[in-house]
Amino acid sequence: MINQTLMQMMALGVVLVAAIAFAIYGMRYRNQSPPTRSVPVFPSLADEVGRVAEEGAAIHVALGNGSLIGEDAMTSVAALQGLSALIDLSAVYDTPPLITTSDPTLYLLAGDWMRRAYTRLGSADLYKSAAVQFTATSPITYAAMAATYVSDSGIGSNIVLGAFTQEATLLTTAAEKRSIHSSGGTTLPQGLGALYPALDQEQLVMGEDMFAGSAAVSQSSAGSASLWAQNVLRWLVIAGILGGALISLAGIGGA
Amino acid sequence: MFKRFLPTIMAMLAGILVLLGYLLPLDFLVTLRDVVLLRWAMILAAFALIVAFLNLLFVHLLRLTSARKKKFTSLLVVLSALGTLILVLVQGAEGTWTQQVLNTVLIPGESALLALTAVTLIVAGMRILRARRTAGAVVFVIAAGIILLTTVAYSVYPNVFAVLREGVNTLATAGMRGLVMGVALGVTLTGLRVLLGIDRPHSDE
Repeated sequence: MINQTLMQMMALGVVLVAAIAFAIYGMRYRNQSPPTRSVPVFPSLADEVGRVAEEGAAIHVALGNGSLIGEDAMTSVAALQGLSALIDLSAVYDTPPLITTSDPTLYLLAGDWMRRAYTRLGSADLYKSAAVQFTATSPITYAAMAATYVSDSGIGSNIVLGAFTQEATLLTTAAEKRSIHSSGGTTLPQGLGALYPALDQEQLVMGEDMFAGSAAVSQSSAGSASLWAQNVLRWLVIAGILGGALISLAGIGGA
Repeated sequence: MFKRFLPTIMAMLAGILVLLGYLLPLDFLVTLRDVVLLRWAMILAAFALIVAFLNLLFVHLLRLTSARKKKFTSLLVVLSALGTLILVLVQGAEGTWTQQVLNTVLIPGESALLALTAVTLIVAGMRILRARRTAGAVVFVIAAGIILLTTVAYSVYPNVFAVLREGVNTLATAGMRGLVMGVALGVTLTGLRVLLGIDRPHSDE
């Protein structure tokens, strides 16, 4: 019980430190976007819209299976934020990507993002609901079904971004068979193991870089401030690990 | 006005209450989280599933009526989706025929796909050195090779390869923990932005 309370207090401490660091960086860089680490994939995603539109094809975006009421919720939200420029540009040119997902809640959110992109332009009537598709609840069946879409001649680019495990390899293999350009990333180790051999390093989003998408695409000070706060937390965690190891070596605090 | 602020306020309030329910050892917050908010979330998710199922049918019926080729997959999807729906409505999720479909079609099918995943992963791993001759690719192939070899060798000679396997496991666990920790920090900050109403994925900017 004491251990659980201690863990809760530590987690609360991490959240509070994160909030304070975020607030400090947010105020400091209120009117300017500070330089942050660059993740080349995100800015290049929107370029795909023009390239694929010239070919008369469409982009396939696989958002994975990160449910909005599960532990991968923020991964899915970050993936959508990283794709926001692509979604907006697609609405401008009226060349909507084919977005697939295996989670019903994520399907609703992705559909809403697409619809809002059209609404902001004043052309909500042009939005087609079939642009966002729910394919299956099981991740492996979803990937197999989405891979059949990638195999279609109408797809000219493949983006695999969100919560994926090893099933991502079915999507990249389908794209490779048709010599289609693939990019994307995930936060899960099993998914990264599948994506790493299939994607060029410049086209791969690994782990925490997924959360840099918002800052990279929108250039907003809030996005950059959150990355700086993330850096602060990272160093605090490293210091905590080293401190814990030293305390353990010194034999303080029991077994 | 309401369309813009109401979803944001509701999301912030619900998010903060659920977060506090996990972080503060107070019974009423835990009850609020488990009995009220998470139950509402489950009901909403169930409705989302119905909408998503209808989308699945709509998309594939649209494909069937369009002039495109390769309609067979769509026909199969529509028939199996409707068939399963009728079966579950008539017999329930635990019914004999429903379980039969699950055990003889769905589970073997998914197992086959998982086996296919293993093959495509091996092929991708073999192709990496031909397509990409970078230091990262070399390290990846060597690491994958060592892990595979130690796993196989350990099952045959457990005494000889115990130490090597322990070393490999320690390195792999350390790498995974580093990755997961970075992701956890990213999740925390992204969640905070949503909770503070700075990012509003659910409503208009």
